Amino acid sequence: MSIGSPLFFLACFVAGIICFHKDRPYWKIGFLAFNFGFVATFFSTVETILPLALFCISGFVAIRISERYRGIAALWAIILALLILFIFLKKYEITGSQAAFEFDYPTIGLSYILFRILHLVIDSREGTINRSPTLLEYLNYVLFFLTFVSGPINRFNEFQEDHDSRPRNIPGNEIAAALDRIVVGLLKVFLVSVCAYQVYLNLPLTIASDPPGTGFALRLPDIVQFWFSTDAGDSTLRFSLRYMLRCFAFLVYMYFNFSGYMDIVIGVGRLLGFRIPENFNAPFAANSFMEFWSRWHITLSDWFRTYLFNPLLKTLAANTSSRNAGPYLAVPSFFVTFFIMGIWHGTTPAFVVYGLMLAVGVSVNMAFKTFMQRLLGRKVYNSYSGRTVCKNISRATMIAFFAFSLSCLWLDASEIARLVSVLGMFGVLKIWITASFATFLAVVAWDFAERCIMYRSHLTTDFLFITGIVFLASVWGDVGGFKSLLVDLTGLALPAPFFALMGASLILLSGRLKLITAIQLEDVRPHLRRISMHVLFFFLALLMQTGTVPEFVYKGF
Amino acid sequence: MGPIIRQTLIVILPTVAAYMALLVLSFVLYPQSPGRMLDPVKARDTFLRTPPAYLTYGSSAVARSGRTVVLLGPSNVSFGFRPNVLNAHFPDLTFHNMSLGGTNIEGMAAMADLVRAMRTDRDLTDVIFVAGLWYGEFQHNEALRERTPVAQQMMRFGLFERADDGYRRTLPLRLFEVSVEALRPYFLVRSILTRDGLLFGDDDTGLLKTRGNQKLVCTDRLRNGFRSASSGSLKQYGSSQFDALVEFAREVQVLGGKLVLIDLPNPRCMTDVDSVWREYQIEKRPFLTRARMHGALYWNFQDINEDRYFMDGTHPNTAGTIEIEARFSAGLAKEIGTLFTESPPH
Repeated sequence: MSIGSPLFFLACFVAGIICFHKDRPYWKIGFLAFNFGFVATFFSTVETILPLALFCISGFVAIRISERYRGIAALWAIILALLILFIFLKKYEITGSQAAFEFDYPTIGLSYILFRILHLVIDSREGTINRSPTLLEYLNYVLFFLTFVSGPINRFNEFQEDHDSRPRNIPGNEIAAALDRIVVGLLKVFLVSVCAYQVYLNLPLTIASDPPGTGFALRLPDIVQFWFSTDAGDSTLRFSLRYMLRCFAFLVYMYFNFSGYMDIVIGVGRLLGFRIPENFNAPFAANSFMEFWSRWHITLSDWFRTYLFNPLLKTLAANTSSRNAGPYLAVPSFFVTFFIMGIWHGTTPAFVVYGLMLAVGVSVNMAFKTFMQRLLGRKVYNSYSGRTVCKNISRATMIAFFAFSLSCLWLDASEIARLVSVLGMFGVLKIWITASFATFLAVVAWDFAERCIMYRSHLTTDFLFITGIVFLASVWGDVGGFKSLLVDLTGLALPAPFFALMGASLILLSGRLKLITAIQLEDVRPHLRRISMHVLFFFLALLMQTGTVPEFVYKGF
Repeated sequence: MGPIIRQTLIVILPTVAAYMALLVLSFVLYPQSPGRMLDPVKARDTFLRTPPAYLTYGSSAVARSGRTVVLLGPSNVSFGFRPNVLNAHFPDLTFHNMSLGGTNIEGMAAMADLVRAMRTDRDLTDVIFVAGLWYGEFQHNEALRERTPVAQQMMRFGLFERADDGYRRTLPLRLFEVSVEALRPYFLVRSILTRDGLLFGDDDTGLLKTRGNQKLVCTDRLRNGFRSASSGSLKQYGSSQFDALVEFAREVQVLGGKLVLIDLPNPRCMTDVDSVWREYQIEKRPFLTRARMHGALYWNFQDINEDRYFMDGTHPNTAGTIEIEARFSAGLAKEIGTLFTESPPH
C-alpha cells in the first residue's frame, strides 16, 4: 500500500476507529490485526512474509535474553546474531549466493525494525525502558503502520505511553494543524518531488566526454574550456552541466519525497494520538555538514549517535592517554559512524562509496573545525564562522557535496568508477567547486528573497503558495497561457526545470514564511478555509500532472 | 473522532465538489470512451485526448483473448494501417493500431509490455505484433524503455506495477476500466486549461486527422532538409536501437506471440538523395538476420515508394494507405496459418 494513496487514508480511517476505542478490552489485538493487515499488503504470498516474521520473533527473543543475561558478552553475542540474521535476510551482496530463503521476498521494513530491536535490546539491558514490552506491545511497536515502511525511528518509551493512554478529545486547532501538515506532505510528495523526479528522470546522462558538435562547439572563453575539459583536452561541459543538474534534481526529489511522507505520517499520527518524532528541521539552513545531519533524517542520526558514535568516542577516550589527541577523537568516531550509516542505505558496492563520502565529509568537517579552533581560538573561530559570507560558503559547499554523494544512490559502482576515469579526480573536484559556486549564488538569492518579503501575512503566504502551484503545473502544460506569457515577456525558451525550480522555491518560501510569522491558530474556521483552498489548488495542479509519481524513495533502504 | 471527521470534510469538500463537477463535465464534453478496437486517430474524440494516454488507458481492449493483431510503430503506422479496414478483410481477427508518433524500437517494445500487462492470464498465443520499421527510428541513442511515453503513462496512477518480465496490471479488468473512467477529471483539466485546450486556444485536431488526399510536392528544399540533413548519419547514434530490435524479437519469442517486421516505405524523391536511407539499408542486415533467428518474420514494403502515395516525407496519403493495407492483407492471408498455429516456445 502506497503511503498517501486513497487506500492509505481509508486505512487511516479504520485505524482511527480502532485508536479511538483504546479504552475497550482487546483493542491492542485489534490494533495488531490492523498493523499486520497493513504490512501484509506489501507481500504477495504468505510464504514471502516468513523472513519478516522470523526477524520479528528473533528480535523479541533477543530482548528477553538481554533482560535475563545482562553481561556485556551476552549483549555482544545478541547484537552479532541479530546483525548476521539481518545481513542474510536483507540479501546484502557480501553474502554472495548464500540466500536465507530460496524464494524471492520483499525486504521492506527490515532495516527500521533492526534499529528498533537494537534500541530495545540495549536499553532493556540498561534499564532505561519504562516497562519491558509485552509481545503485543512489541509487535505493535515494530509493525506500527505509520513508521513501518521507513521510520521515523520512534523510541519505545514514547510509543508505549501513547499505546497505553486513553483516547482524548483533540482540540480543534490541533486537528487543523495536523490536517495542514498532511496537506503539505501530500503537496510535497505528489507535486514538488514529482516535478524534480521528472527533471532527474528525463535528463539523459551518458558518462563520457561530450560528443562532437556539443560542448566546446559553443565557442566559450578559454577559461571555461579549461575548466570543463579532461586531461586529454576533450570537452566535458555538456556532461558536467547535466550531471550537476541531475544531482540537484535528485536531491530536491529526495528531500521533498522523504520529508513529505514524514509530514503525512506525523500528521496522521497526531490525529490518532501517537507522537511521531520529527525527522527534518530545515536541513538546507545548516551551516556545516555536521549540523546538516542533526537536521536531516534526524531520528536515524540520533540512533547512530546514541548507539554507535557515543560508545565509540567513550571507548577511544578511555584508551587514549595523549591530551593533544583528545579534541581529534571525534574525527575517527564520526568516520566510522557515517561510513556504517552510508552502507546501511543499500546492499550494493555503490553504497560503500556513499558511506565513504559521508564519512569523509563529516570527519573532514570535524577535523577542520577542531584544527581551526585550536589555531585561532574558539572565540575568534566562532566570530569568523558566524559571518554571513562564511556561513553561506559553508552551506553551499555542504549542499553541493551532499548532492554529489547522493549520486551513489542512482549510479552503480561501475558507473562511479567510469565517472572518475572520464573526469579524473581533479575533474570531479572542479565540478564540485562549480556546483558549490552555483549553490552559493542560490543561497544568497534565497536569503535576499526571504528578507525582501517584509509584508508577512496570510495573504503573502497564500500568494506565494498559489503562484508556486501555477509554476509547478506549468511543468506539464501551458496553464492558461502562463508559460507562453513568461516566454514572450522574457524572450527566453524557459525549460521545464526552470518552472520546477521556481515552483518548488515559491512553495518553500511560503512554508518558511508560515514558520517565520508563527501563525497562531486561535480561530480554527478561517484556517480550515485556507487549508481547503490550498487543497483545491493542489488538486487542480495535480490534474495537470503527466509525470510518474515515484515510489517512496526511502522504501528501498 | 467526530471533530476530526467534521474538519476533514470541511477541508476536502471544495475539492470533492470540483472533482464531481469535472467528472460530469467530462461526460458532457467527451461521452465517448476508448472503444473495443484501438486506433490513435480516435484519441482526440475520447476524454483521454492524447495518443499515449488513449493507448495506455484504453488498453483494456487488448485484454480479452482471441486472435489479435497489434500494429506497432511510429506515425507512419498510424497512417498506413486502418484497423477497421483490415478487420473487414479478416473478420475473425481483432486489429488494434497501437502506434505512436515519433516512437522508436524501444517505444514499440514498451507498447508490447503494455499488451502483455493487459492480456488476461498473460496468454499471448493468439497475438501477432506487427512492427513498422523505418530509418528514423534508429536515429536515437539515449532513449530508455522506462522513458518512453507509454512506459511513463503506465506508472502514473498505480494501475500497473513492474514485474520481472515487464509490467503487471494491478486491478482486475472490470475494476481497471472503472478506475480509468474515474480518472476522467485528470484528462479533462489538461484539455481545458492548456494553451491548445478548449478554453485558451484552438482545439487542434492534430496531424492524424488531416489524412486525406494531399500529395507530396517534392521540392529541393524538402529533399535537402530531410533526415540526413536534420538528424545526421546513422553511425553517430551507435547500434542501440538495432540491438533493441533484436532484443524485442527475443522477448516476443520467449514471452509469447509472433513478431512481423515490416520495412515501411518512404517516397522515392526523398530516398534518392537521403544518405541515411542508404546507410540504413546496409546497417540493418545483420540485425534483421538475428531477429529472424528469434522467430520474427520480415516483410519489405519499401517498394511502395512512388511519390503519389505520400503526403510528406514519411506519411502515406489515402492512396498509399490503400496500397500498404492491400500488401499487408495479402501477406497476412498467406502466412495466417503459420502465424496462429505454431505454439509459442515458452
